[in-house]
Amino acid sequence: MDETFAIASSLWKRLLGVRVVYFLTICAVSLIAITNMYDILMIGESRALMVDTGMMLTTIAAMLTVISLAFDIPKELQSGIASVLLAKPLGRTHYLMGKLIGVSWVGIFITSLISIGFVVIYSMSHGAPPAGLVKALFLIVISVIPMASIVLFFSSFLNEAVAATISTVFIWVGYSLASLNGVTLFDLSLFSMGAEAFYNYEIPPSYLLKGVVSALLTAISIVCVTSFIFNKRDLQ
Amino acid sequence: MKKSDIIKLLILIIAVSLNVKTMKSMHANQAEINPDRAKISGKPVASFHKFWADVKWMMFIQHMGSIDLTTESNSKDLYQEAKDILDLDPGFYKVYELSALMLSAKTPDLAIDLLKRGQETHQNKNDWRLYSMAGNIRHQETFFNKKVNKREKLREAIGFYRLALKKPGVMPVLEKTYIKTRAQEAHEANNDVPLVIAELLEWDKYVNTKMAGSEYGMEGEGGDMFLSLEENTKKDILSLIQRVKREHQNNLAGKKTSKAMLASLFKGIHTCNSCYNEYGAGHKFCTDCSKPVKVYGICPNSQCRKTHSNGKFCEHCGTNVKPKKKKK
Ligand SMILES: [Zn+2]
Ligand SMILES: [Zn+2]
Repeated sequence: MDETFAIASSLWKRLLGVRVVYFLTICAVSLIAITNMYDILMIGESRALMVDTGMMLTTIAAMLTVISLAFDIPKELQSGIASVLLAKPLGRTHYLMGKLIGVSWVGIFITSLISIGFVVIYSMSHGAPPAGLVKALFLIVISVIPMASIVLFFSSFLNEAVAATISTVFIWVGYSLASLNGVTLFDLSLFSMGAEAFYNYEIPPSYLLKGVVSALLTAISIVCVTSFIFNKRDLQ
Repeated sequence: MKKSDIIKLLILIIAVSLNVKTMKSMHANQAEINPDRAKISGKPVASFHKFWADVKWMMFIQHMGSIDLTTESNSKDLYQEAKDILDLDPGFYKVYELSALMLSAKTPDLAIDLLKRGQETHQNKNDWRLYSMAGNIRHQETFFNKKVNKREKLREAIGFYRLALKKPGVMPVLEKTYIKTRAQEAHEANNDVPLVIAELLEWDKYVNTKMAGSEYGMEGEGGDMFLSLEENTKKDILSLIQRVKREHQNNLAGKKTSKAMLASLFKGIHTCNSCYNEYGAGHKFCTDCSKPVKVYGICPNSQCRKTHSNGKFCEHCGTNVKPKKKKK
């Protein structure tokens, strides 16, 4: 288990050491604040624009963070950095878990930062944020876990560019397939409750709990499948 | 197969089956939390439906601003654009309002279509404005379009107004529009009934049903059953009664209804017998038609005879002005 955390924390330190991450976070929060100036252009609907922009930017930040994994894993496998660990019997599964935990933590950290900025800006311009807004943001934060798992899956056997592209498509489709109610095993639309937050519908706490459970179950199933494939791979 | 693979396979099966259950239940919850979710189109825009609707809304406003003269063709374009926004965000009230306003001139049917869509959403189904706007659009068609079947449009308008009046927070002024439209429809059906009389009859019917409603505990609680009728509305009804007296003195139905309404709705006020103008305490002659009126509100004390303000005792001499009521 120590190996898993070592891999997770090295990824976490590496990604959060990049300054551009904070710069982009500040950009996202500023964009949310700027929507206040669109009141005339929106004919009085600037609150809608702020909430919708905030939800969108938080989601995009989550997507970009997890997709960075598609560049990390294939590169590491090629350079043979982790070859010592990968030669051990349980090493490969630990390696995958470490990567997933590491990138999930980074994603959760960044989306939480943007969410906090968003909530602060919202309360400055429209008063105390409705409970639904905070809950919807929480769901976006935990949606990082299933998103990161799908990227982990593709980057375990594809090269960087292909893994990044296919993961992006999968994530996009995962959000768009709401009409297939429950048929897909990978449904990210369950984590998008922005409209409900804006219209002040009551999101029960049990829904958030189910969200966490579903996110973890998705991650567990994808890690299982990935490790099957990954263990069969011939790595030097 | 290795032992570790079997364990993984078991974990996979358990995780997937539990996840399917959780996701199904979350889908059911989503439909409960927000019934309008089913109305959102399946456009592949990830979770950005609402943001995309906002962008399209801004484009829609730009397009509207660029139109100098509404025609049937640009109205149709606007209709399509409004529909596209509503497919992404069915709860967007302003879209219904603004597009109905723009479309009402050239393509009233399209405007009504959008308003009906709004009335079907969970978010806006209780917004009286969507119903009253639809009523207004049908109503104004009878003025501007000579070719339409007037009675049909009026009946549609009445239907929308009636729905609007049942919604919370509705503006009381809509009652007047509703009655006027009903009167118009009745007049259209039978031209022998003058419009003013028709209006009076409709008010009488309306007030009576409201009263019946309160008897069954639907509005107000005992006491003043006309509590829900605005003071302004009552004033309007009174001037209508006066108009009927002036213009249709010999109309039997008008006479009868006027008398009945004065006795019920206007029980608390004093009106001149010849013109139904309201007069104040102490007045001897009607200020409107100069006929003598029955004086009230004068102190019974022969030394005083001043106008009192209808309290228990005269404010000028202290005489009990309501002696009969004190006896039980
Ligand atoms: Zn008079
Ligand atoms: Zn007196």
